[in-house]
Amino acid sequence: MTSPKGAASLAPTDIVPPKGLLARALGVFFSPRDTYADIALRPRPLPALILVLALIAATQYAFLSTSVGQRAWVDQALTQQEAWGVPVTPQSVAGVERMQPRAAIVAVVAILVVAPMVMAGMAGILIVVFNAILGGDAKFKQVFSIVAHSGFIGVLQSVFVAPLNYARETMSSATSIGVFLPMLDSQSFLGALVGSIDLFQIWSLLNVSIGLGVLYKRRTSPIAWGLLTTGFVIALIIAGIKAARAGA
Amino acid sequence: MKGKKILIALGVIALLGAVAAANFYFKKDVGVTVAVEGIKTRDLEAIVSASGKIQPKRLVNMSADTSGRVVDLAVNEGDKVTRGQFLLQIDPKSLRTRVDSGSASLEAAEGSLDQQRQAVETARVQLDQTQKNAARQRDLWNQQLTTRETLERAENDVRAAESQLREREKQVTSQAARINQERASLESARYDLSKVRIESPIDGIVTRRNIQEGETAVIGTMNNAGTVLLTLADMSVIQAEVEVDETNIPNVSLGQQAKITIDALPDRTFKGHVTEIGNSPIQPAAGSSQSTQATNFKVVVMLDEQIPDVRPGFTCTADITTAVRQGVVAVPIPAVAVRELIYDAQNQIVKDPRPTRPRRPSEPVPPPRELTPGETRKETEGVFVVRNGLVEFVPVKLGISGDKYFEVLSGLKAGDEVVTGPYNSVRSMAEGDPVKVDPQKR
Repeated sequence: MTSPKGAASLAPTDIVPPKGLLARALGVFFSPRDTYADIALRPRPLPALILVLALIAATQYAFLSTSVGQRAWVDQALTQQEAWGVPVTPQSVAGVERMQPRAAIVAVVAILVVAPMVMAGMAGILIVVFNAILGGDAKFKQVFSIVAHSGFIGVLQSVFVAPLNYARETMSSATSIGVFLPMLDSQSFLGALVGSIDLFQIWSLLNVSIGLGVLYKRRTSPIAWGLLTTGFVIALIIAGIKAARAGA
Repeated sequence: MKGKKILIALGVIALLGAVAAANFYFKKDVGVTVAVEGIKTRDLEAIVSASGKIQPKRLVNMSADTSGRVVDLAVNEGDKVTRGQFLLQIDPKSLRTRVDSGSASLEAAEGSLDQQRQAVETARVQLDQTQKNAARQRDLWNQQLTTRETLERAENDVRAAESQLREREKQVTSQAARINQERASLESARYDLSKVRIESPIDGIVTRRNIQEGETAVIGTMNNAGTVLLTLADMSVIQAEVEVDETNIPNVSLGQQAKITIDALPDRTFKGHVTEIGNSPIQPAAGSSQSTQATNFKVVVMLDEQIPDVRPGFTCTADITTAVRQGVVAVPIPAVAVRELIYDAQNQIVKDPRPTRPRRPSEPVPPPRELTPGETRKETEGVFVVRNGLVEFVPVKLGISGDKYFEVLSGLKAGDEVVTGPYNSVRSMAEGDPVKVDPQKR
């Protein structure tokens, strides 16, 4: 087996013992550097991706199969509609309510279709930045594998949030910074901003940064700052648009 | 290394615990915060409030019967006067001259009448003399002792004397008529002279004085308020003349008790009773738009007690008690709302199934459903009763309206909690909406 060029000096494959999927899933949380070293040496994105999607989809399906979950789903759909400045009308309410019994299926399909595309898109952007701009030579498979494995943080979020959402009877973000700042109006710019910054997303970006640092043999902190800043800018733009549309 | 992993795990658990705690601690309750009030039995009074002015029962506007300069003015505004008391004097000079002139004319006419009567006597004597002369000439003619010419002259003299007598008699009649005319003129002048002295026709106070000494008074006319010199009011009996809206007038009847408050005498109320209810609406003032005016009726409330220092024209408010109920179930007025409900063919309310999820505050009320055959839609008065965190629209039959409460004839019982506010919430609330009861406004 030949190592990818970017990860050639990490460690010989015969010294680093290969980790199983479960070990990798746990390693993402407890020893990310070692885990990502293994992932960089032996990139296998598909099993991780399938497991991540399956767990998240199963959690969402379980939650949205309940009447509480379905009501919360309708409420969340209307909240998002309002947040983007689209007025809630009897017609739009009726449209969303018609979808209510199929909320679990809709959510599972959305996860299975959208999540791989988002992960692939993110891996593609990172490849462009680190290979084309910063002169790295990692393969797409390696970066995609890192991104896919970081999805276990999303699994933890999903497992953590589902019972919370059930108890709260809402699907509004339970892990954003906004939960600590209830005094902010969610339709204001600041409210929308803190509502867009999710603690698990931050954790996930830091996790990906560690993976990228290991893969490209770079220090983690500049990568982390870069990703966090990018995420913050995206959150700013989203919050700005939401606040502007809600105000309009 | 193991210790580091434990630390990471503990840190993650602590963070997740904080997130979970924050979610529950800052959990946003569903539904709007509302004020509620428990239903109790109360004593209610239906009150019709109307504003108007204090007026005396008797009000006399004094005007001049003759025009002229005011030479003596004995009263000021606010003076108390008694019946027959001198008020003012209009210059009598020209009227007195008219009386003197009339007297002289009458005397002259009477003198002339005497002369004319004398002339009638003279004419009568002349007629008698000519008649005798004619009779003599007729005898002489029968004896053929005189000429025909002499006889005819004597007869012509008789006719001339007769004519002269008739003329003199007519002159006397005419002069007598003239004397009557002169006498009437004199009476009129004397009457006018008597009117320059104006006295009070009632006991009361001078409430208005529009004239000053030296000014010229003009003869008063009904349609010209500017000709009123003085206004006298009998303040022994005063009343409140108020304007009652047409929607309230059917509830007002004679004899109903009322409480009157006078703006100029704050912190005091006076008792009265309804003595008069207008049958025709009050005509809008000239220049005001008819379409924008409310239709009001005049209601007179006589005050049952003496009010010192009261003045006509004081603005006042009369609270007329139109109905009284003791110990009835009552609901706060702001709690009552009107909703369109569906009734079946038996006139029973058809309740739609409860919504599967609570309506969001910003979510519009869903449009009414299509009616099935036999169903009708009617606007129904009711209140929102809080049950298990949700509101239920309960139709009520209302009785009289008190100051703050409606009497409830059916639909509610003591102990029910009804939503009383905020106003916008009650207005936009729908069956099944979740609410949070504000403990401060319970």
